[in-house]
Amino acid sequence: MTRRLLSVGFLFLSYAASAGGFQNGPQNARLLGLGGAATAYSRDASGIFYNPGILGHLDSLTHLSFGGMGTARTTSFLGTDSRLQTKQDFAVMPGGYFYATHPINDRVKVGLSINTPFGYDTKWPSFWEGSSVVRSASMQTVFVQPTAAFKVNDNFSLGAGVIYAHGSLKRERSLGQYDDLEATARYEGSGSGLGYNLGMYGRTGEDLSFGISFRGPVTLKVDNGTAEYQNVPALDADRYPASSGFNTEVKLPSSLAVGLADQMTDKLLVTFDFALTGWSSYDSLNFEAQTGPRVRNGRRYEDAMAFRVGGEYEVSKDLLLRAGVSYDESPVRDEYISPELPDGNRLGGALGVSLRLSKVMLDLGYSLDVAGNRTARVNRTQYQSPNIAGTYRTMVHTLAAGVSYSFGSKK
Amino acid sequence: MQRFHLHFLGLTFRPSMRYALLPLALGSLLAGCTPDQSEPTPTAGTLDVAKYLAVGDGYTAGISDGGLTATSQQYAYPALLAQQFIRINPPAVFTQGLLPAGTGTGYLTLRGIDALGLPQTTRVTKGRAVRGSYIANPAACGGADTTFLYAQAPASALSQNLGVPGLGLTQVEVAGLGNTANQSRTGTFNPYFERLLPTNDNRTYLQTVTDASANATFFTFFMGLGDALPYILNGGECGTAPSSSLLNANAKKVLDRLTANGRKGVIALLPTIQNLPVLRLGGKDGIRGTLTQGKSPDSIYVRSSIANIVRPIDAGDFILPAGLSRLGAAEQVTLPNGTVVTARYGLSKRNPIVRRDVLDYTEFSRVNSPLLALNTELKRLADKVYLLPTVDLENELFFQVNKRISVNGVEYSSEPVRGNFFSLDLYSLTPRGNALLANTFIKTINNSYQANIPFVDPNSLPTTARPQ
Repeated sequence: MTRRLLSVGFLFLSYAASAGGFQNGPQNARLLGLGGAATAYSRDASGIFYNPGILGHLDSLTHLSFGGMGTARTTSFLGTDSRLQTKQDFAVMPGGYFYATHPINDRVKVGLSINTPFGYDTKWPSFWEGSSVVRSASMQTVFVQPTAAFKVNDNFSLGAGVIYAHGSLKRERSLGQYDDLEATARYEGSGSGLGYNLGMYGRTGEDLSFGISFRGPVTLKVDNGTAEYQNVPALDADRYPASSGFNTEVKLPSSLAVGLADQMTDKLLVTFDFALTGWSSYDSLNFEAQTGPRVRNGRRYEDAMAFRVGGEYEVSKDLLLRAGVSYDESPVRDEYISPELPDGNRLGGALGVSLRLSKVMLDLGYSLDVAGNRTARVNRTQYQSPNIAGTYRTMVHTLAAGVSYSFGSKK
Repeated sequence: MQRFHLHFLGLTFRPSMRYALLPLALGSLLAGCTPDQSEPTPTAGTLDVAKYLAVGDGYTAGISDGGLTATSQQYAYPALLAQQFIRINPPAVFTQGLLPAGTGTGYLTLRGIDALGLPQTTRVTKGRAVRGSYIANPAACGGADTTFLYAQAPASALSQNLGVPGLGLTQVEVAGLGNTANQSRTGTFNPYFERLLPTNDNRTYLQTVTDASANATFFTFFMGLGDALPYILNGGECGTAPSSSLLNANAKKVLDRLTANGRKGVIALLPTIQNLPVLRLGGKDGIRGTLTQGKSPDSIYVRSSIANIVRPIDAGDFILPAGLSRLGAAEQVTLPNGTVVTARYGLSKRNPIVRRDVLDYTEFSRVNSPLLALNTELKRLADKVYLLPTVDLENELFFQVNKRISVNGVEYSSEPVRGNFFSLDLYSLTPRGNALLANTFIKTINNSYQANIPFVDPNSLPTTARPQ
């Protein structure tokens, strides 16, 4: 049965895959160190977000895992027209996670996951050559997911969670058609949406475990957006009202993941993940203004695959070392490469460690993703899709630190 | 990054409580970790850009907002091109005959935009660089006119920008066109040429080009619109349309001098005149159609240049901006029998658009045909005779702007004022328009001479050359 399930999963994956885009790194210091190969990793409470099925197979203790993380995307841009390099301002996108699981009885367990799985924070120098395309753009999300799981038998669990997501976004660009360098368009809004998360987890024998999970798409409905236009000359004041409202929807993608974990030796656990992210739902980001101009941003993301491998080596009960490698396909098509989020196919390496400090484990993780160079070509007569031509080089650093703690009675 | 990993491991193997410092330490370390890209070194390829000579008319001189000012000269496309050349080749020099700082020959300012989208302008004459001497010509076509002498450029070395507003190819062999003594000669005196020459210099423009090109290493040639514009702007009522054979012959004469000794250059093919806003706005696809909607009668009447008759407007006629802004105004008209009636300008047969306010299809054809022929001849000369590259200004720039373009997030179009391409006179260019024009030349230079010259960023230039 296991084998059949797995083959179905792999079939799915061969059609598409997912990650990249504005997905944040793995939402836990341990998982970060594993390169994100988390779907079949059951040693931490954070599993409940990546595969709710894992929850059913956690032991009889109450587990807590929480911490903070920072993601820095560093990008340089070489303008095709200017032949000049511009570097993004250094911005650390903060994130955090909190996971708790608690057994109700041997078969039923409940858990709560709070994390920040999507986001980006792009800041270009204020007066860079593409400032009329974008000067800064950011998005932050928080996912809250109450989860319950049921252990069907010793080898198999099913889990499900309901997601409440809240997100905020900001975007700023200069209005370069005016002489005043301070002429600026600023959009800001926040919204929320619901989603779900399903997963199954199983073991075949002592050494091999597997997981399959599907997290549904979440649509953030933003109906309180404000569009501000500043320092617009009097001549055009009625075209760009100082402040107006707008509505939009942000479609956060679904994720289908299949994972394996193999206890290769007593000390070494190796995990594999394939994931397919349904980015194709992110077609455009349009601001429907009540007054003032309508803003349309074509995105046309594609579904994207990710492939991850991680290893955890137990030096002693008090020291675990991890390393991981990941490959994330970018959902951004060539013709939509823009300075707002210049993404590329990413090859990542990760390192992590867990140290026991009396009762708690201190978890640290770091990953460096190197994105392939992306070149944006621009046809200036396509004025509906403003962009700037040039080549982007991107590296993504992610650092996470947290603690995990287990208590209760082991049966 | 190798260094970084080692550092990280170093920390992890010391199970101290210093982990709180880790984010700080990493933050400062990572800030320097933005991946670098090497900027290509700009080169001029096989071209020697040490001494550049620009030959042309008002577009080359830097006319903007209806006049030439010290500021508009600095944003003329040759000046912007020269700026890029100097970036590549710092010893290169480009001196042009600038008017004294803060002065000019007058310009238009914007009062507002009327309901039709036409700019409402006022001519400013304050701060004009007038040398004191002027000649009034009460018999000038279109009403009494005054010819001024403007502040002279240093006579020692000829300006490397030989753009002369109002200069036509048909005039390049007129002796004394820039001779101070000829100030009172109507039609064969050009004060903009005069100020570039020493006082009382009798040289023709062709001779001046010959002299100035002696030590030039590279040239651009953009002439022909200067032959058409005076005729167009007066609705075909002043002067004559240029002769095609004279245009072609003189273009060859100027180019023969410019290409002497194998000198390299770029030859501009002209944009089509009907797409300049001064004509386009009042053409069949312009705003005139929207003007008559809901009004009765709904057709427009013009006085034709043929037989001076009143007839309904033709799809090939162009109403000039002066006529457009007056179109539909209720005016008192005296009929032949002496009665006075109220008739809307251009909307009533009794009050047709006057000949000065319309370039009718006959007049348009008279001026357009020789320019089309000139373009064909320029292309032939470039391809077959001089083996030099051409820059197709219509297809590479003006046509695109007409359809609207977006350059690094900023839109440019032929819309008056807001389009940021054409200046208030509706035919000359803004500083940003000049940057786009310079970039069109650069593109051709890069393609033809294996050069790698960076483009000018139009968005970084002012939207207008007039004082703000």
